[in-house]
Amino acid sequence: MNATTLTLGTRQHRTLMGVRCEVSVVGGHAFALVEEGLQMVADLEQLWSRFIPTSDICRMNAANGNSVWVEPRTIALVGHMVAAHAATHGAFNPTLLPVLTAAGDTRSLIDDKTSFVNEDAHVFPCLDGIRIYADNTVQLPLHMALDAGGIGKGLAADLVAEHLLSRGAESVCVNLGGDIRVSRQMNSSHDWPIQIMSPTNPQTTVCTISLAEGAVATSHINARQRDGHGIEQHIASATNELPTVRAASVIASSASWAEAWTKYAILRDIKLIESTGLAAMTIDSDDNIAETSTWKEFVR
Amino acid sequence: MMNDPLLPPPPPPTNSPTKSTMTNKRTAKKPARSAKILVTGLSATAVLGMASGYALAGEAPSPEIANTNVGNTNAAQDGQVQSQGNSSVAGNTIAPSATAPTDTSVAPVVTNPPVIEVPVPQATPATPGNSNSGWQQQQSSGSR
Repeated sequence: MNATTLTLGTRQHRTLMGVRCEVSVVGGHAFALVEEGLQMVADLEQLWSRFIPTSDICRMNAANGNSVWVEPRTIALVGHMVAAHAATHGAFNPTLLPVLTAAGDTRSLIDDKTSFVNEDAHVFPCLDGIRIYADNTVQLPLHMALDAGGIGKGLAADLVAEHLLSRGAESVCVNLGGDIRVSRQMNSSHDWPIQIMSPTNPQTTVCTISLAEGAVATSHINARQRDGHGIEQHIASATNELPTVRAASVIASSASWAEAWTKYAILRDIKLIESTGLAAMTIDSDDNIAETSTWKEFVR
Repeated sequence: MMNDPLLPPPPPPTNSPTKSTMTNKRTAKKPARSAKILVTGLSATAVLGMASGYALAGEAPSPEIANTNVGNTNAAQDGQVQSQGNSSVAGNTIAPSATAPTDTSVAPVVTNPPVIEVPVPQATPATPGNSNSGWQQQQSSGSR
């Protein structure tokens, strides 16, 4: 038995942000920290859900071109959206909500909440019109509607992991529906094995990777369909690109970046991802797997 | 008398009760004195402040605002408003609601705070681990 298996840790899960949210903590006051992490995700859901009318996201979308005061973490979210949109050459686009709602994706997959989008809202190929002011206000262009979606889950995982480390955890893992962030103290040797599941058969493992510090995000085109609810395909683009693969997993330093790059991998390819030094794997509709050379470094 | 055993013993020497009383008296006087000083200081400050305020107000170019037609226009329609308008001119003060409708040449100045760029750390490669099993194993399946 090695030191890792002797290390005390705990995990808890809850349904948050429409998915299974699992927080695992090793070291520190693990039980209290796990609860603290779950509560933090719940708080972020109140800020970023498109199904909660008082959320920052809903208030920004309903502002009709006016600036709206938002929580500082929402400022960070919008900043990440803009940066991810630029880095992925528009493959990640947070303004696709009108397309999703027009396709019928108007109901939460876990309860009866519905989302509302102004009928004049449309997709924006460029995010230059978003203004973030020094007084914590955000001004969206008229007819723009943001959706925190996957990048919101990724950033939530990042923020919670960083917070729990600062509160004394030795190593943490935050899993928000497959967007996973792991982090550890400098002097820790703890790491986390992660199974990448098949998009066609969720019970089948495609491969197992191991992460010491960083994140992995998996996205597949049917993610917004569950138990007969939702829509068949939720990956869209401002230029009407169609998905080239069924699912993609990306490993990066943060879950928000990993999540954004999965959209690029699904809509385009993994060459650009490889050139940035990140690791990616895609699975097409025939279950063919493509991966970057860097992906092998993580497979165990 | 000094050593008479029939007499009660003399009271024990105390720490100069007279001094203590004096100290208390002084202490009791201090709040009043402080209050006087405070009141005097505040009064002087208030007088100086008011004097400065009136002096500055006198230098301000207010007659143009006072001469707007609001008071006169309304005066033809309503005696009460005329009265208000005239008194305003005399006192160099006009209610904002009276000047706003006709003073169309002056647009309200709306100053936006500066636009900021949110710092976002660049994506970098993650650090691989070694373990491939254990209680901490996770599953990444995409929004489930």
